[in-house]
This record gives sequence, C-alpha cells and structure tokens, in this order.
Amino acid sequence: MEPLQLAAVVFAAALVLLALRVPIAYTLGGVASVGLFLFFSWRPGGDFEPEHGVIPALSLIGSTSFEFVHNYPLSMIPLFIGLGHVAYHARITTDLYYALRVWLARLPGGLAISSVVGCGVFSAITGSSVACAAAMGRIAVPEMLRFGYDPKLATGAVASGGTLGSLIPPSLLFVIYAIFTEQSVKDLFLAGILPGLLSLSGYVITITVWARLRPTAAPVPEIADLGKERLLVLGRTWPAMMLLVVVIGGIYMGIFTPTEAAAVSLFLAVLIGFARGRLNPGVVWTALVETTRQTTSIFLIALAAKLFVSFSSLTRIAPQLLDWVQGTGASMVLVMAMIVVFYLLLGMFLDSIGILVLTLPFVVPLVESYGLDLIWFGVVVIKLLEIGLITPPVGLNVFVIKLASPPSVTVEIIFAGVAWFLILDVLVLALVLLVPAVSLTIPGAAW
Amino acid sequence: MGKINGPEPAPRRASQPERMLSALAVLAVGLLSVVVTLSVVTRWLGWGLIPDSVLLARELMVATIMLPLAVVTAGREHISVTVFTTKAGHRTRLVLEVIGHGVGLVFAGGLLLAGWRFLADAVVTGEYYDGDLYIPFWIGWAVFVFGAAAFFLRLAAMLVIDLQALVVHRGGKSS
Repeated sequence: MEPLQLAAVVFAAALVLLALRVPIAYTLGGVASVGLFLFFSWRPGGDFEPEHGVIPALSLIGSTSFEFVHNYPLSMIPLFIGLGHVAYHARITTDLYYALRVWLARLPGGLAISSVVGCGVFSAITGSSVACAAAMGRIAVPEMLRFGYDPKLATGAVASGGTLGSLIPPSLLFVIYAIFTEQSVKDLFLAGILPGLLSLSGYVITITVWARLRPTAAPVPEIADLGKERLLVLGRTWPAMMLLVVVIGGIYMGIFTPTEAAAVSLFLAVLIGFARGRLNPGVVWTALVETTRQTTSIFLIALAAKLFVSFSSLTRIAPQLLDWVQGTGASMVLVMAMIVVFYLLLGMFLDSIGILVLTLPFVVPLVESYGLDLIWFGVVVIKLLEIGLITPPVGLNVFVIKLASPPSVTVEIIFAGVAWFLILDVLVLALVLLVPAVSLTIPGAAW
Repeated sequence: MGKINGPEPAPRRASQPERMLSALAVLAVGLLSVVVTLSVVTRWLGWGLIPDSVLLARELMVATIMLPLAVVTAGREHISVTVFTTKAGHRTRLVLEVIGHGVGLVFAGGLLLAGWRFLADAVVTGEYYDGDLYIPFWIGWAVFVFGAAAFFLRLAAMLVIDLQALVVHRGGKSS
C-alpha cells in the first residue's frame, strides 16, 4: 500500500473516531498503532505480510512511548499541575483574591478587576487556564454576584481572566508546544509574559469601560474603610508573591531551569501550607491525587500524539502537504491568515491540547518554510487557543465558570459576558501577530 | 470538550489494586519534587547530595504517568470531543463508549506488548544506566508494563460493563 494512501485512510479514521466521542488519546494511539503495523506489513508494491510488521511496529511504539514518559524536562508538567492544586488547597489563591478585593473594591468594576488580576497572579503559579478559571471562579463569581454585579460581567471576567493561565508562564500548552517543535521551554515561557500582561491590562480596561458605561452592572460595594486591615490582607499574599518570584524570577535570572523552578516551588508551597496550618498530610494527598489524574490524562494524549506523529513522519505526508502549499504560490501573509482562521475555527470545537498535538506536525514545517520564528508562532498559537477556550459552542472555560455559578446564570449569559472581552483578545492577538517584538523582547533580554 | 452536558455513563469505582497503583503515583510525584529540590539546594551548597537525580526523576516520571491510567479510565476521565454527540441518547452514548473502549484496547494492547518485549530484553541483558547508582533498565520498563497492563485490564472491564448495560438497556430497563 502506498504510504500516502495509508496516511489518508488513517487520518480519515481518526477524524471519524474523534467525532464519535472516542477519547482523543485512544483515537490517536489506536489509529497510529494500526497504521504503523500496516506501514511495516504492507510495503509499496508488495503483498500484505503481517509477520514482517509486528516487530518493527512494536519496537517503534515501545521506544517512542517509553522515551516520552521517561523524560526529565517533562517532569515540570506534573510539578506545575501539583503546584496549582497545592496552592488552591493551601488557600493561597483565596488570600490573593481577598487582598485584591480589599484594595481594588472601590474602583469602578473593582471586584471584577480583582478577579482578573487574581487570575493573572495565579497564572504565574499554575500552568492551566482551566485550573485558573476553576480556582478563581469558585471564589470570585459568588462574591461578585453577592455584591449585585451583572452576571454577564462577573462570569465573563473570570472566564476570560482564566485564559491567562496558558499565556503567563508557567504554561502547560507552551511545554507541549516545545515538545512538538523542539523549542526552548524557557524562551517560550518568557515570550508569553508580555502578551499575557497585555491581555491582563486589556481585561482591566474592558471592565473599567463596562463599569463606567453601565454603573449598575458593577455597583461599588458598601465596604467600610478597612484602615490597617488593608496592610494585613496584603501581608497574607506573601506566599503567592514568593512563588511568583521563584517561578518567573528564577527562570528569567537563569537560577533555575523550568523543571527545577517547578519542583522547588511545589516543595515551597507545601512547606508554606504546613507552616501556616493550611495543609495537613491528608489535604496534600488529595492535591497530589488530583495532580496525578490530570497529569495522566494530559500525558496519555501527548504520548498518543507522539505515536501519531511518528506514523505521519514515516508516511511523509507533512512534506507532501508542504510542497502542495508552496506550489500554490501563497504569500506568507495569506498562509498566516489561513492558519489564524484555522485555529480559531478548531478552537470553537476542540480541546486546546488536542488541537496542538493534531496540528503542529503539519503547521510547523509550513511556518518554518516561510522563515518565521517558532517562539513567536508559539505565542500566536497559544493566544488563539486561549480565544478558543471562551468561544461558543465549546468554550471550556465558560462551562467551568457555569459550574461555579448559580443555576440562574446560564451558559448563554456567560458567553454574552465573554463577548466584550473577546474584542480585546482580538486586538491583543493582532498586536502579537503584527509586532513580533511583543513576544521576542523578553526572551532576547533574559540571562 | 470534556463531559459536561447531558446524561453520561457513570464513572466506575477503581478496584483496590488500581487505587494502590494510583497511590504509588502520588508518592512518585511527591518524591519527584523532593529529589529535584534537594538536588538544586545541595548543588548550591556544593554537596551534591542526590546522585543521579536526573535519572531518578526520569524513573519517577514513568510511575507518575503510567500507574494512574487504570483509575483515570475507570473514572471515564479521558478527554474526548463531545460537541457532535451532545444530543445522543443514553443508548447511543453507551454504543459510543463501547467503540471507545475497543479503540482504547488496541492502543493499550500495543503499549503492553511493546513494553513487555522491552522489559524481557532488559531483564535478559541486565543493562543499566551510566551513573553512580547503576539503575537497571528493567525497573522503568516494569513500571511501564504494570501501568499498561492495569490500563488494558480496566479497558476490558469497562467494555464488558458497558456491553452489559447496553443489553439491559435494550431490554427496556434503565441502567
């Protein structure tokens, strides 16, 4: 069988299985395993000889899978996931939100601003947008609704703020992008900082404008002047600040590798939690159980995708597609515009990790062939995936916030709230696309 | 993405051995943090207290990822694309689950067979990683095979459970 024919059949099978709700990991791993077996058993122009296919297919499956899980740099993924869970259980997130609330409550839309700034700081501790939205949503949404905020503003702010988890380092999506493109995790992390801060500032501006145009949407709460308590609550945020310094400062200054920063910050978070009486062995155990389950789900998808990529490489489908695109004479601007539309469309329906692992093997050679910077492209892709997290019909962050909201707050209300923030997201995306320095300045200046 | 809307086939409680494997993964991730942190701290102090810390971390990663596979599978926690099937009824969802387990078995079977071959090879050759601790290859492969085997068995059990539910559902009873 011709490799390209085989690749076409396997890809079609994968798309059908994905549509049939077969888990992404099973789909990619299953079709890749069968594809590898057929590739080695059915050589072009030859007969089907299964006895020749089993051993090479198993060898490739075994070595690819084991190398992927037996990997030191990737250990930052469970460690950063663990950090997010431990920080939540140690109520580091809660302290952060309440401190911001006390300081910012009197601003127009102050509670919503506290929520997105809290998301921004928590993003620098955890690496997942969904974890960020879930942690902040549980605390901030009920609080804003209690103070009479418009549900659209309350939920839209946190759903959008949660997306910062993927852009502000550490970011699991950046790590996965780094694996599949062989780029530096450190450079990607640093490249995400400025676009992340731009997004955060944009969200704050959006909330301020919203609150000024419709003051009833964000009533200023009747909170007495707290005087000394302002300093007290600020003091309680030191664990979050310390972790932020360890993670971002340590990586930027070259003191730690990202993996070491993840391990040290997790270790520190546990120590701080115990020292403050917020954690006990049972709670740490619960946090680590959540960590291992989430890690396993993510890794199984990535591992299966690795097998899928190995199969694709053997069939040489990516170079063929590349030749075809280049043969059309499409300009770089047109190709990038098509890539942006492609990711926006996929983001409406698919999960971020799924999109990354499915598309990168094909998109990255194309981007490279036009001489574009893969660190910059990584930031563009992650920003696009962030937008996908809050666009209908499958905006995962929106559903996460729905779970933290009372029944009267429907998914439609949350999507309506998110629409305001999407305008800003598109502006930031345009800035990142048109001005690569927004992404590349900090990695260029790091030690 | 994820399983958020509508009735879903219920997650299953993992068996005792599966929960034990998951508990080992929890210990592994805790140890991972301790090993890397101690390695960093002692490197600063110039002691080098943890030999082969990178190799140890790699071995712990295998346990962290592979051992909870069965528990995650029992809980139906694997991410899938649900947008095209949200309107599907309970029976259709059971059929889709069965298809999913079948595809998963192909994947898990490949991992298990491949892992077994490499494990057998590692045991026969007795090879080990270069370093102070002479960590043998077979340890990581054995953990890999344990995880893959538990994953395979759990998928087979889920297949039987969902097929039974499908039969019951066809008989007009609620499952």
